[in-house]
Amino acid sequence: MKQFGELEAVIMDLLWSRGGSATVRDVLDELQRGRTIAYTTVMTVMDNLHRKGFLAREKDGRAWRYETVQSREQYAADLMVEVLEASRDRTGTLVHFLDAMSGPELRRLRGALTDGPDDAPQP
Amino acid sequence: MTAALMLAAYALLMATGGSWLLSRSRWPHRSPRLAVATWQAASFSVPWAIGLAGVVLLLPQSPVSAAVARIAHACAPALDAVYRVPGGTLAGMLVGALLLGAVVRAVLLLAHDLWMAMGDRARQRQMLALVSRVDPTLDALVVDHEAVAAYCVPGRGGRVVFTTAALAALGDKERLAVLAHEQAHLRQRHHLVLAAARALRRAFPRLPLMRTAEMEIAVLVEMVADDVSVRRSDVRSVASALRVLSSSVAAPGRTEVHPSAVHASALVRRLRRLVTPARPLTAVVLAARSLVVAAALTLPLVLAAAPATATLQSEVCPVPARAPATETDVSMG
Repeated sequence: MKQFGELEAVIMDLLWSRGGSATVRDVLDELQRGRTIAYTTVMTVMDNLHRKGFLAREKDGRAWRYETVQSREQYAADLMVEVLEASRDRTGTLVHFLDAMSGPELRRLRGALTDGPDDAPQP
Repeated sequence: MTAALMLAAYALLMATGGSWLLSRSRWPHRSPRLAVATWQAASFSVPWAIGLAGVVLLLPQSPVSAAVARIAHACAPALDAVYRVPGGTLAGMLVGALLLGAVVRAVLLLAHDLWMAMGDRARQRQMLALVSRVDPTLDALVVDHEAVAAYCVPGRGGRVVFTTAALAALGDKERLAVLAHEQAHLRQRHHLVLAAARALRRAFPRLPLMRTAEMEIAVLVEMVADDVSVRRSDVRSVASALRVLSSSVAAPGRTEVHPSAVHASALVRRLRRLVTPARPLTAVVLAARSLVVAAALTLPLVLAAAPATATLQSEVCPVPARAPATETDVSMG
């Protein structure tokens, strides 16, 4: 399963860098430049990614043609929205180094933060 | 009946006096780990005492008491007698079921929260697998994003995550300080501590103790992680990482963050104890306070079981024909 997870990332990378759609055969050809890999393995992983909603697909002749649903940047943005919401709700889902704060909070803090930044004792 | 009343009084005392004492105490920042345990003991002891009061009220009416009597070689009718509720068994059962129900509800809330968090984290890990990369110099994942954030995804194979903006804002030593801090959260399973405090607050929303405990525990686990980080890097790096991140951490446009004084004052408290560190508590004080924590949790059990232990000493059983206990049994038990 661990290799599948890695392969998912590799295949998503590949599709993002191609910037378009691809069939299992296209992906296989690219992957086989660097490693030996079975057609069925690539097919399974791409089917998983489709099932999880990361890839859309449509029939192209007899094969499926796969396409990324969102760009990498959009996924990163979605991820960070979740992360910051978890920070605000403190659900314990994630643990932050620092809780997210609003603008007014930060302004209130400014005084406290600039107070003696250099009086930290030497270790 | 007396046992149930005493347990209820104990819960009330903890929820009011205990909370008041703890929130006024000045030592928690000197030993945040013990302070977390103390807040936990204070808040757990309330549902613990309430639940035991429920059990004690339900006991005389249930087949459990007969089973308990058999196991303990005690006299069942005597056991029933000491826990009997004057004024009718129905009232006792009703109140008992209510009390026990409140505690069961808290447990269910916690189970629900943990379950939901597991699902959320599974999705996080999936997304991270696709959009993050492993930083070769830092044992952490990096996500390309302009929001400054550093956090950890707890659970099996827990990972620390930085955004590229956070990495850019931090120097090498500060990065290591943040990493050590987050790894401390992961190793000490602080997400479970936070989830338990949250579930208790939601189960007993009218008790200020639970609200205060949740807020204090949230700050105190940060202090615990800060201390680990200080030991693995140095005070300067931890403090400056806090300053750097706090001056740039802000919610991006899409998430609206409610202003609250809590987060801000938490940061100030963390910084203050780093800049002017206080002596940690001495071993003697630490041991004494640990004993208090243990006592707060064992006392309810003592209160609940005291009447039963009294019956173990009595050698006369009101219903001799059916009594399972003979004199030799009693001396053995």
